[in-house]
Amino acid sequence: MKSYVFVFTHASFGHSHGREGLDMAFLLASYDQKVQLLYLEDGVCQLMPNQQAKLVETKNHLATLQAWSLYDVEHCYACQTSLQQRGLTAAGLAFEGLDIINDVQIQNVLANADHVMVF
Amino acid sequence: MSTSFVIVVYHAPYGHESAYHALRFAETIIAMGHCIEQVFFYQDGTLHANALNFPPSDEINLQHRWQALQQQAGFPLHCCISAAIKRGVISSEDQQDCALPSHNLAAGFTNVGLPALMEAMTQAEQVVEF
Repeated sequence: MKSYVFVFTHASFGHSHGREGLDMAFLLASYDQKVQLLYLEDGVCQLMPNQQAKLVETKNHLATLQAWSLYDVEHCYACQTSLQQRGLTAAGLAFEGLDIINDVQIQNVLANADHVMVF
Repeated sequence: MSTSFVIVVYHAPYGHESAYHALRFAETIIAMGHCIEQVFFYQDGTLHANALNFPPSDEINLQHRWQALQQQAGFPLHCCISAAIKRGVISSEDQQDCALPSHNLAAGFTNVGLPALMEAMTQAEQVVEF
């Protein structure tokens, strides 16, 4: 078993990074790999509530993301600095089980992973 | 000392320099005596496997370079099947399964599931993304 951190740095829609990265993360988790998600920079926008994928006629991968703990993903992290820069707060995210971590903690999470995949 | 690599390619062969860097990295590590477990094409990277790519004759053909490197070093060129068929990169099996009018998967490339990537990453010492 290896440990993976999936880093998401793009906002929710406009391209497929969030969705296809999540597909890979959940697949690895389903094969008993240790998987953690980290939302960084514009990636934290994927954690905001009430996003309307239907309005751009795209599949709503955010609904799947909300259920991350059901997919045997170990942790879901959001970058504190990225949230602050975008005027977001943990309370405003309405996202269960999310860990907000600072830059030093992010360094530790990344340093302790076997592989880091960036989407 | 030889190191084993998995190379993951996310970008299309034309339009983004990352795809070129992936190839050059692969060519270099083979030349240095390292080993590639697998090259995995994901997202727009799967467009490398479209046999109908036709860059001008005086420009680089990344698909041909990958095929040549594969011939030399013997590693698999794998495309994520779900990413590939969304982008019209279709093997003959996919053509039958999905009732499509034709197929276009280039020689040397294989459409596989994501577990194939996981198996290779489990074996490899290094995973490098482009």
